[in-house]
This record gives sequence, structure tokens and C-alpha cells, in this order.
Amino acid sequence: MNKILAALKLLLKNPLYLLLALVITVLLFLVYFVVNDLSYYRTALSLSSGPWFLWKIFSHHLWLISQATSWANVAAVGLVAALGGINLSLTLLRVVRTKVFLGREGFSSLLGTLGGAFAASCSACGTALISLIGVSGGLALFPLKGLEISLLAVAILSVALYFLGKSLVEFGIAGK
Amino acid sequence: MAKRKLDFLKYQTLFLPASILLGGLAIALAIIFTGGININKGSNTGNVAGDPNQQVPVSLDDDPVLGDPNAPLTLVEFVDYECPFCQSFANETFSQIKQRYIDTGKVKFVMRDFPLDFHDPAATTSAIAANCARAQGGDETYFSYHDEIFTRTAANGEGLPSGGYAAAAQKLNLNTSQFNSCLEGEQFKSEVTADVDYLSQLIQDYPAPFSMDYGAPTIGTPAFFLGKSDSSGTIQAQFISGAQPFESFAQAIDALLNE
Repeated sequence: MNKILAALKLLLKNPLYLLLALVITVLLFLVYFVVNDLSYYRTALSLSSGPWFLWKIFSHHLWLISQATSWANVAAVGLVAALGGINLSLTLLRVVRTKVFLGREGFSSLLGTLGGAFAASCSACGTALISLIGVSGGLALFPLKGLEISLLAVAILSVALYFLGKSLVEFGIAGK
Repeated sequence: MAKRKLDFLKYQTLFLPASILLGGLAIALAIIFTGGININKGSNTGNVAGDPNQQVPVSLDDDPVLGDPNAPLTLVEFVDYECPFCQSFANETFSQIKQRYIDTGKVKFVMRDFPLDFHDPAATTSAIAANCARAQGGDETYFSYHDEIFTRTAANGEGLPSGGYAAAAQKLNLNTSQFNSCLEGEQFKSEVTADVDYLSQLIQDYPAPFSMDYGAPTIGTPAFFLGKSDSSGTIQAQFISGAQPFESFAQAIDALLNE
């Protein structure tokens, strides 16, 4: 836990990397939902590309998912995106300061970040990304409607953040 | 310091596979976002995979119609009564479309069935029940029964509570023994299956608008088709994917009305 806190404190002390983490978080959150519903967004884009219209499309998508699952599912995907953003930003910080590209956490960080994509849902039945791995019924088949995948991704990314924090402390970049 | 150097060398070996992995991910995302791989499945349509604007011919069959039969535009929905997104559309967006476009004679709305197998048997049972209601009271009763199903179903294949179908029929003053006999005898199952077969074949024959999800032609529910009305009973239609907000339907309908 101390290692995770050390990593988070380091991030807070580096506004540039904090901003990067925020940007990656927002992008991941968007990608997680868009990638699950490409036809929905391409239909929308074929009608209009105005920012207000696209915002309406995206917010409606989130609302649909909250109705079909719960707001907790949407928030969990947000948490996965945030942890993915923090991990990627801190990994970059370490690369810049130490030239070490991947550590023990590299694989789990990547796995958790990619796994988040399967936790989001779509606005139509039968077209979610998870159908690619043979789950034709989508997230509706899971007892918690995909919250399980989000929580698994959160756990994996937390472990990755722990090892990242440990490595940053060992390199003397983050305080103990 | 020496240990760090060793660590660095150890991790450095991961650089190449990680770069390949990230590069692969970037390429995969690029393919996805540019509309998928062209998999034109031997049809003679000359379609370009992933084109959301490609028009497809959609038959109205003999399915229930809501609104003025002479309305200039036709909106067809393929519905799964157990799909939560169809439910959201029915309970939230549909009333706005009805008020602005159907009740004003601009659009007629046609409902066709597409129960997804992972929502069965409840999805098909609901589709049959709605057709049984129509057999007694016509298209208007069909749509009233449609509303009743979506108000009562727990969705995702859980269906209506026990006795739910009969209770809905009773509420609409239908002859319940006749209704139950129709439902239990699965009188309209072939009608429902024919709709499923029709749409499944359509996406194979005209894959372009349905190839937007990961390259392969797929379709989910709700699926909509909007086009100018045609006395032949088949419209040349634009595909509208998923439970879009009212604004999307308004954009598409207004654009077509202004042509």
C-alpha cells in the first residue's frame, strides 16, 4: 500500500505527468466504450459530427449502460481507465528518468488496461467486444453484468501500480 | 548500482516484444476505427465493407404498422423483446419519435422480430405473444401489447413474471383463452423465425453497413432501417444501429424529409 501511495505522491508532485495521466484516463474511458459499439458511433458520425451531438451520443450511451447494468458498472470502467492512466504515465516517467522501459508490472499493466475494454458494454444486444472471445450473449450473461471484469482489471492494475511504485522507490525517484 | 544495471539489461530484452505488442495494438485499433477489413462475402452488391451510409433493400413483409400508411418515410425496427436496449428505446425514445413524426403523418413505423438466441426462450415467446395480440386486435393492439411487454419484462432473457402475458392480454381486453391457446400453440413461431432468417440473410447479402464491428458482418438489437416509403413493400433504407438517442433519429428523418 505504501508503494502505491509513494507512486501517487510522485504523480501529484509532477504536474506534467499528472496531466498526462488525466488525458490518458479520459482517452481510455472513451476508447473502452467506443470500441464496444463501433456501429453505434459510426451511425452517429454519419448523421452529424457536431461536438454537442457527439456529446449527446456518448452520454446517452453511458445512460443506456447504466439502465441495462448499473451506474456502478460505468464507474468501475472509469476506475480501470484512471488506473490505466496512472500506470502508463508513471511508466513513462520512469522511462524518462531511468531509461528502463518495462518492469515486473509491465505485463500486468498492459493486461489490466486491455482487459478494461472488455468490461464496457454497448448500446445494442449482441455486438459488444466480448463477443469476439466467444461470449455471444455479451456482458448480460455475467451475474454482475461485466462488473466482474472491471474488478479483475482493477485488481491487476493495482498490483501493477504496487510494483511500479516499488521500482520507483528502488530507483530513488519516489520517496519511501 | 551494478544490480540496477543488471535489471536494466534484463528488462531491455522485453523492449522488442513490448514494442511489437504495442505496434500490433495500434494497427488493430487503426483497422477497427477505419471500418474493418473488407470481407465482401461473395455478394454481387459491390459494397464497401464498413460503409454506414450504404442503402439496403428492406422488406416490410406483412408486419405491424403504426402511423399513416401513406407517410412519406418508413422506419423499420427489428426488435428483441428481451434486449434491455430495445426496452430503453421503447420506454424513452420511441414516444418522442411517435409524437413528432408518426402522429404527424411523416413516418410510419414497422415492427419486425429479431429475438436473439441467448435471450430465448423468453424473447421468442414475447414475440409470439405480441403477434397473438395482433391477431385479435390488429396493429394498434400489437403496439399496445408491445408497450405492455416492455413495461413488464425483467429483460436479458428473464422474461415476464408468471402469468404476465395473460395479464397483459387481459389489460387490453383481449379474449384470454383465445390468446393463451395462440401462445401455447406457438401459432406465430414461423412468422417470428421468418423475420430472423430474413435479417440474417440480409446482412450476408449486403454486408457493408453491418461490417462496422471488428470487420465481420454482425447485427445487434435494436436495429433500425429508415427510407422513403415505397408502394412495392420494400424500402431502400439506411441502417441505424443501436438504441440511438432521439437526436439521431431526428437528424436522419429530417435529412430525408428535406431531400
